[in-house]
Amino acid sequence: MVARYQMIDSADYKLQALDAISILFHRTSGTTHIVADPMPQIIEVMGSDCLSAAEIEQRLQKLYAMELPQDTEETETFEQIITARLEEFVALGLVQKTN
Amino acid sequence: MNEQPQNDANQSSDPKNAGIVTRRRALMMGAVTASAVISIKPALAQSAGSALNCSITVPTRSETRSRSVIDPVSQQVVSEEYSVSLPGGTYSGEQVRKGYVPTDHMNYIRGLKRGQSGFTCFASIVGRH
Repeated sequence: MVARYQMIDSADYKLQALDAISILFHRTSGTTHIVADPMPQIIEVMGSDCLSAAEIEQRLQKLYAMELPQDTEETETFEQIITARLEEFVALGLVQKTN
Repeated sequence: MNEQPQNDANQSSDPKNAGIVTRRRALMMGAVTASAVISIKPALAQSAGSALNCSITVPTRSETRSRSVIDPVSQQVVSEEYSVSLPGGTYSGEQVRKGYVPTDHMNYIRGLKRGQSGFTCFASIVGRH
């Protein structure tokens, strides 16, 4: 079974885009998260849907030209990077994961 | 399997816009190990109860006053100085907030400055910092 990810309820947080970063205020915990690319974009394409990392990658591809930094290991895929970012959010309680 | 970065040119499929190229915004993905979030947890919030549980102590002070008396030897009216003790007291923040404090002590409390004992407690009651 492939892992699927879903953002917490939109009423439970406020996402404010600034110039280079976004601020996410998690009402339930009172925690403020400073969020950098590509997380705001991942949140944007996820909406309230339950998606796998591969599905999120497809949605991102439609809107963005994804790039890897110059010094990245050759073996990292976009799907792996998206998974790592989502797992971070799962640990913070901002994304729910179903296997 | 390595994914090649896509070039940013997309041809629109609408025949009216044939030939018009829409460019997707570049999105830096970062490395797998590059975190994209910093969390700021709220400071331990001061609950409504804790401010009112602090206490303010008004110290006992002595004051020198003068009064007129008749000198027993010379039978003249003279003034003499005497010392009066003004007792202090300790009040909880709750008592101060509700006004259960005699006027003299309340005046002392209102005059507290930062650095004096009781200032922080009083400031948290009235919301001044």
